[in-house]
Amino acid sequence: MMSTTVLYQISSEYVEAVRRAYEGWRGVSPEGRRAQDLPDLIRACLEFPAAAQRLHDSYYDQMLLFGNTHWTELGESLLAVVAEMLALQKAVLELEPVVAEQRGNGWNQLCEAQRSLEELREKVRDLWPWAKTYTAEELRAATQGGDFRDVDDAFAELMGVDQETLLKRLEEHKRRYHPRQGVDRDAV
Amino acid sequence: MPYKVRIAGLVLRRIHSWGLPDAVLVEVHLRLRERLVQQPALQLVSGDGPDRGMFYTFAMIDPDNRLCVHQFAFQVFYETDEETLSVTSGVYQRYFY
Repeated sequence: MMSTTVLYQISSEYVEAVRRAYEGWRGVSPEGRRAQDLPDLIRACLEFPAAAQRLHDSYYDQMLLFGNTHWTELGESLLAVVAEMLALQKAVLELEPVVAEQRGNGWNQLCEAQRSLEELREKVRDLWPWAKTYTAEELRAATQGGDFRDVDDAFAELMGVDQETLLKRLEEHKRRYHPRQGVDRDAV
Repeated sequence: MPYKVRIAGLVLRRIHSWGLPDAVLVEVHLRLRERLVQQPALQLVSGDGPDRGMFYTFAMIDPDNRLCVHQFAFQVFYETDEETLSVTSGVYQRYFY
């Protein structure tokens, strides 16, 4: 399903490769670590925000251009990848005191990359189009609970106008953009 | 008989966050208010299973920038009264060509 997209696989495999590098790095003795290529591990982690953003954009294309209706699963999949990336970044950042010696080799950028990823995670949590699942009873309960608004009320509020003004704007819009009646696809 | 359309408060806040130009916002209103309600069965695409609702997608060219396309998708449920369509989620992106 959604987790078979190429970018998902690339992102997941990339995180896994970095994790293996990290585990391998931790496996050697403290003395030996200094000889390992820690800056390379840090640079690999620096790629995470861009990789996560690409996956995010790919999922938006999936939903909007290719008709994937598994919106919630896509969002959860993205958050899972981002969580793995953040955990790895955190682990690398905690490689003190050895990392401290590498501050000139990307450590500061890694802190910034971690902030970028956290921002993306918050954006996804707040703005992702989480698709709801409702049984008939749940939908009725949501309706009775006042979760829904009439479409005209809703758009009047959005535009900051009263209903009369809203409907005038609608008619004006139709005259201007749809003079032959109906709504043409792909043309306002 | 045309359906009534209702929108979840969460979707309303989401639309607000999209920062749409006025003409595009009015067009979204028009699509939900007048286009969707006419023969919704022809406008909606089914999700996977009855509890996942239906999906209404449409695109429009920005009247102020013909290289910009606004693409929308909304999740919609039929109410059991068979007179009401409830919009429960929505996604939007603008694409430049």
